[in-house]
Amino acid sequence: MNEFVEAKVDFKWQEPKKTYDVIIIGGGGHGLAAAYFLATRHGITDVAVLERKYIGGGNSGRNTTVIRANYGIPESVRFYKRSVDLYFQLEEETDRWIMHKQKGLVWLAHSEAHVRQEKARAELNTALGAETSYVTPSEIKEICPQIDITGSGQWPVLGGSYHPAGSTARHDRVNWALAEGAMKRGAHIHQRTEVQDLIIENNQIKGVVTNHGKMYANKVLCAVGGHVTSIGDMAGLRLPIRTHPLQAYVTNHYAQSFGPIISSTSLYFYISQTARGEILLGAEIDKQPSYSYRSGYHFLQTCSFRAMTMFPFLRDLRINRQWGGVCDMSADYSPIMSKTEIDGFYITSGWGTWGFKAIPASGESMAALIATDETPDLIAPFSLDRFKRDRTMADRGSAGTH
Amino acid sequence: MRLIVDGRPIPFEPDDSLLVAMLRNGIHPTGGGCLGPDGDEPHCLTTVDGVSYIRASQIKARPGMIVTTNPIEGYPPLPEDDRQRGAKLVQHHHCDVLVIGQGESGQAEAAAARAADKTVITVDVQNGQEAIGIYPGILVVVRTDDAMLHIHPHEVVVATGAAEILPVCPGNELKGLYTGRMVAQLHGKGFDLGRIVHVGTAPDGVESTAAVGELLRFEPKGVSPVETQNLTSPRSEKTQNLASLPSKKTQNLASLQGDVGAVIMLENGVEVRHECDTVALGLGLIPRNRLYRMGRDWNVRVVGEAARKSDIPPCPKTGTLCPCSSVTVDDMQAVWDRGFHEMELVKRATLAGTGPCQGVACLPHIRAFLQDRGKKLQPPFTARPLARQQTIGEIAAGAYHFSTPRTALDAEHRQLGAQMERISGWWRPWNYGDVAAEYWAVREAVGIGDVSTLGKLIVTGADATEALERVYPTKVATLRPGRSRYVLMLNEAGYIMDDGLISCVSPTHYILSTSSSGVNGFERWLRDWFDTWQLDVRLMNITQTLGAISVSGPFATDLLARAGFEQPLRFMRHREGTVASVNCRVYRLSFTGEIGYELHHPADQSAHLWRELMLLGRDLGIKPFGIEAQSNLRLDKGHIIVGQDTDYDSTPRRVHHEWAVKLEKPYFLGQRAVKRTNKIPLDRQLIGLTMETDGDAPGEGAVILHGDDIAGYVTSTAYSRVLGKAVMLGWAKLVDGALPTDFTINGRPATRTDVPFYDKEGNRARA
Amino acid sequence: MLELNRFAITRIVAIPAALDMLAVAADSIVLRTAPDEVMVLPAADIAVDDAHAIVVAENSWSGVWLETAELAHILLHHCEWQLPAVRPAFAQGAIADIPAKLWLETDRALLLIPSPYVTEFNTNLSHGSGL
Repeated sequence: MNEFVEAKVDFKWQEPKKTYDVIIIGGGGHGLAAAYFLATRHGITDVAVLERKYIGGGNSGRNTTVIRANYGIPESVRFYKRSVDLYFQLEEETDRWIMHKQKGLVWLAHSEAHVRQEKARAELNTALGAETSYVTPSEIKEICPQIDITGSGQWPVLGGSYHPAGSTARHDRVNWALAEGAMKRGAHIHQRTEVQDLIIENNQIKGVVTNHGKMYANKVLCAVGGHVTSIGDMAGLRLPIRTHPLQAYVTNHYAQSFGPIISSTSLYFYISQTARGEILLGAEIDKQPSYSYRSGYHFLQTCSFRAMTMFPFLRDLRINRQWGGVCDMSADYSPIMSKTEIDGFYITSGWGTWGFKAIPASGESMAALIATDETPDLIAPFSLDRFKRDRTMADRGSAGTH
Repeated sequence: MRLIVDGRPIPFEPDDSLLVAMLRNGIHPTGGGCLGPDGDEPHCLTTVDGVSYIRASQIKARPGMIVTTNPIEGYPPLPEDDRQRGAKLVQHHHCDVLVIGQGESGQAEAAAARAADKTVITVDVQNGQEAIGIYPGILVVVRTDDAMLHIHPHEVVVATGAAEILPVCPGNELKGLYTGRMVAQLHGKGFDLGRIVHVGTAPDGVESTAAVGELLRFEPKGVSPVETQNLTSPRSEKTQNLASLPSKKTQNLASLQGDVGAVIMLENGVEVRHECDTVALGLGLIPRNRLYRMGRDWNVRVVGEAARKSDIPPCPKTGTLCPCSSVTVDDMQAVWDRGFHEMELVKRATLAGTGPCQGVACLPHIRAFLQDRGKKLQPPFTARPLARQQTIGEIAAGAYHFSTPRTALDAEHRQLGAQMERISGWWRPWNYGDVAAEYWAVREAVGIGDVSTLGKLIVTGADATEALERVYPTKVATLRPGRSRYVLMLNEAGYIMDDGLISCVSPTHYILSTSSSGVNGFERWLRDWFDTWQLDVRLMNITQTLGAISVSGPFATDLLARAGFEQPLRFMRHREGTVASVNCRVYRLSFTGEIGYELHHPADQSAHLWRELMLLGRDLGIKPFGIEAQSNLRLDKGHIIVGQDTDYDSTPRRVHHEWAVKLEKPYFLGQRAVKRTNKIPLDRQLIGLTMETDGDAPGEGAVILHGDDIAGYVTSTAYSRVLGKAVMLGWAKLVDGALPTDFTINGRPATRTDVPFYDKEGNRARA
Repeated sequence: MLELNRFAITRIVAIPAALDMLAVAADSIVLRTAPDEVMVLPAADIAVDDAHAIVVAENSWSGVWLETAELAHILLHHCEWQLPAVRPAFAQGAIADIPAKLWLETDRALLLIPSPYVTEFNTNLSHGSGL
């Protein structure tokens, strides 16, 4: 048996009921986390999570698992800092091995203008408690001996920012720990249950219509990824979201020796080594909006080439598989965690390329919002109506690659 | 002919695959496990000449190749980065039909297509052509030793045959286990395989003894039947109990090593032992249809054995099920018992199927396992590239670095010792080694800079004025020929996209400029709207057509006069003229705060014009200035740089540019949004800040505090040499509807200061 | 390494109908790069039946005449789209990652790329093939 076979998580599946206190649409990380925090922090367990396919099968199980807090505006830094902290304690809290590992994260600067940007990132984040420091090329070489600091003579590294809290965790394990934690306390999770319509009466949510019939609840959270605008349509809500594909790939297994997470914003790629020894590579989102999970070759080719520019040792590693996910990009590159115009209907969305790292903080906050109907301060800036109120949260820092 | 395996030279025969060569010498690539001839299974993986995960059955043995076997435990190390290898080229090919696989059905398909007068390309893994993926396009990528083939067919036929099912039972990691086809191949090569016992279908053309019944386990040589019996079934002779063995025992069993000595079958309820030297396994076939499943939405067909239904083996009871990830049947059972029932969840919980063979070994058994537990037969795993693993270096073949264009002055800058940087999508001079000297040349004498990268567009037509009136928030109709005006470009949300200049040649002819990085987006934007409005306009992007040199400083006018441009030009005017014998359009403007001109001229004249100006200005103290000096010069004036000082959601009022927006106009893009948001109380604004320092300045991104509260952060910052203090732009929150005056940055006091910081009346630029 | 030189070209943007009827010298090459745009080489004074036509003397394209075999070699490794079958023909698209124009004659072809990309184009041709 390999050490990575899941050894503890025990799911207790239940038959669906007709009525719940809370229905959560979407059995990805965010939906499961909301159920988990409703149960553990608020004692609300008459909850059903409805999942169209299987839990954690969307972006929560397709992302590249980077956890960090080095964002570009104070509101975001504060929020992601909370998430980073929750991740640090999640393993102990759930008593499940999520393979959380602190690695440190470096963003490379290849020009004077980017040096300034990385210095700015370090200044702002450190001031807001998400420690980040500016590092020189030789310091980067120390953090990551495999890097070719000259960028094969084409893309020399002039500096970078270093965020020691940068971590990874195994995405599936996070989803399962949260799902099990919620189920253990009485929440239901129903897989292969697709929401086809919402039941709304007098501007109050009443329940959902699924492929297995109607289910009723006076509080419904939409925590879906990808097709969130379709759910929005059911409620008559126009969401400022466009969905773009994002791709990644891994190599075969190699002995552990690549420590940090490295990202180049000029070359649009990032790299880390997984707990199983795969080298994981990813790039930026596709420019063309689409719901497609399909893989492209141009991405694989150019990302490989650019990564090799900085890491020549990659040349002879063998690529095992590539895959795609989809990213819901909001108009201002920040998430939406909010009440809506429909009473009892809540939404967490706009998770772009940064959804995984937000799972615990989003779950905690949305649970509090659902339980109390009061918006927690931490997520108040991310309300859906901010676009109308001219209070958008444009965030350059989160427009990075992961 | 010899090659080296684990430091030992071994002989081989011509036409041997590496696998056959190793087996000739009694070496198994991974120490044990069932082997086939087609590289489907994971037991043939080796490291060859430093490249790990090479399928020994898929490469020819070559003299001198250095091979390392892959031990079951542990992973290969990450390679060093100092190895040089020949680059692999891409070859692009086009055809009507691509046939992948040249077995019987593949050949028939190719012949039929040729008969129908279609252009046909055929590839086959036996010829060293590995198809690794079908991508949108259609693009099929095929690896060969010489090149990566990028084949662009109209139609693809997948004729890749079927793979043989591997056994899952105790002892399946022993040596001497082969698929039927492998036995046939080795037999054909003259191998003495000893006593061969076959399970399932007998191997073609090889004499072997049938072992009938249900396959229970393989036992190693040299272990007596009694011992094995004890080992495998301590409590009972009944092998049915094997499945319920404590997992530790099965563990031992699964990792039995050595040569196979016997096959144990359950025949009519009785265990039967077949002594042997070799086992030939004919357990059924699974279609090799991954390429088809990747491309089934397009014009891709699957034929022959690749189109067959998968055989489903009996439900596995015990033993290693996924050799790549070392997952046993017990592991599967354990996660099943804890509620992992979806195939994807089982896979993710055990990691079965995620290793180098991508599920060929385990998938049929997992499907059987789940079917046995009351699930419907599950579809195979999603087919993802790569169908055959290739190295990152091979995949990267044919990729290029970002192609960053150069202005016609590129050689001049480099000759002057400039630090060239990729800035705003171009190679541009960051500085020429002495920023202070560059700065002071502009403030006190004259400097020249390369601004060829600025976006330049011509718009003409009967409706040119009307069209631009709708695009820009400024009044266009009032702009007289020969004059220029600063403009903002707003999107529909009223946010600033870019800024630039509009210059009127005539009411039917305008020249527009944009920032260096903004021109392509702005051109698309204009074309979209011009088409939408159906106005009578023409648009030409002349960014690369014209070079542009900025001449700036108190002596700028003198310098132009020396160069033959004598009639003075007033501020924000432009006209055609000759400078150093070069036909230019000369614009009078100012970004640096000093007298400024831009000389737009045919790009092939740039170097001549630049050199002449340098020569003519030598005694005036002329210096070239780079982006760094220019940025400091403009910051003295408080000019914003869109993208640096603005964000995606910056409205004109947030950056104090209401003066550039004429809301009373009948219409312009973004007007509705600006009017709407103007009614909402402001929350933050871009402000000017100054700080008394000894020559330094806070960094970009520095946090601006008001009292103990975070007010915002710095977007542009420099020590102003002319003012003797730090000057900054940055975002600050309003407090009770008003902007505070006093802030703290890096623990030092900073004061909100109206821009421009320098020469508030603008006398210097207008002189 | 291709020796690419600036070509003197006349570039015209005008209403499509005017470009359809453009009168040019018999030995001129007319590249219809868009419905409303042509590039004419060599550069010439050309009358356009459009009062608002934009006519620009252009020297920011660099080019080289290639033998058919030379071109085929470049395209094999650096061009993923298919050439038209007829001759003469005009084609445009990315070659070695650079926006290129091709004028194809029976036994030779003119390759034009934007002058700012000449250095990068040659770099790409020489090593666009893995590091």
